[in-house]
Amino acid sequence: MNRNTLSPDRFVANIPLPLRLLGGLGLLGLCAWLPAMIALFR
Amino acid sequence: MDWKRALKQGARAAAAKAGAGAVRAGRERLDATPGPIFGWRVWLLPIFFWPLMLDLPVEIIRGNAKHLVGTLLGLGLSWYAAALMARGRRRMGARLFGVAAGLAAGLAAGISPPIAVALGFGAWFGVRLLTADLPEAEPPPAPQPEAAKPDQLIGPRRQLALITARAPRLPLGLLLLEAARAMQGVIEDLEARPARLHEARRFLAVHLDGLSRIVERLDAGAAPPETLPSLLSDLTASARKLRSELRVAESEALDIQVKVLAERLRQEEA
Repeated sequence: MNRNTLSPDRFVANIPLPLRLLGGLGLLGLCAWLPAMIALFR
Repeated sequence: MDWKRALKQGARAAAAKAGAGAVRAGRERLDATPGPIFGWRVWLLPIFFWPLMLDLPVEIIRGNAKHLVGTLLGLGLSWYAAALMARGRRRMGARLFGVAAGLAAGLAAGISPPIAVALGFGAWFGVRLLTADLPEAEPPPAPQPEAAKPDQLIGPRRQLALITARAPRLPLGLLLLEAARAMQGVIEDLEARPARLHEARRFLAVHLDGLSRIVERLDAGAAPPETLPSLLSDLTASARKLRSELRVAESEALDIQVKVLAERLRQEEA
């Protein structure tokens, strides 16, 4: 199988841009901002 | 974005002309433009950690070393990750941001390690999603191996100088000079492309050394044998052949470089 089809780059490139931006912001909110808030209010 | 346009123009010129001059022009254009600095998508990343900035004085007052280290690492690494991405090292920046998020979650927020690791991966993937369409810059090139090993060409150059000085007053002087000049060309090529030195090792060890010995014997009064003129012609031809081989190897390397650049451009445009 072509290696490119399996690469994360190719996978990400197939996602439409608005969805990519939303997904990226959402994931960062969940995985970076939320733990930081937990650290602040713990 | 000027730098992007410059990249495309440079690559197009290189692919169209496929010549050293074109590649050099493209490279100069690239060098002239400032490095890629991406907008909000890069500099937003450390902003996600703003609660840690408020947390920092709190942790200092509380004196909790583990939480303080987590906060500092989260802030510092996320800032460094953004700086890397601003220089075009998108992948490396994403990885580092994932590490920053994992450390901040594990140390500063006190979340259990497996979940902190998962959050780190989540942050990494989030950054990849957010910055997927930004171009990746080449990682800084590894330091070049010592360009011209000075002692490797000093000997041959000295031998050539001796041959050229003695040849005019020896029998078959013209042929000797012609062979010496051909070898001089090879040495000049090797000075310009020291990476090819290993390909010419045999030439330097056998041909040049042989010619040097011949000149020494002739200088000592030896009568030239009948086969010497043809041998000298062979030496000249061999040196010229080696020179053209070196040039072909360089042309192939350039050809590959041009193809790679054109392919990258094509992928970026797709």
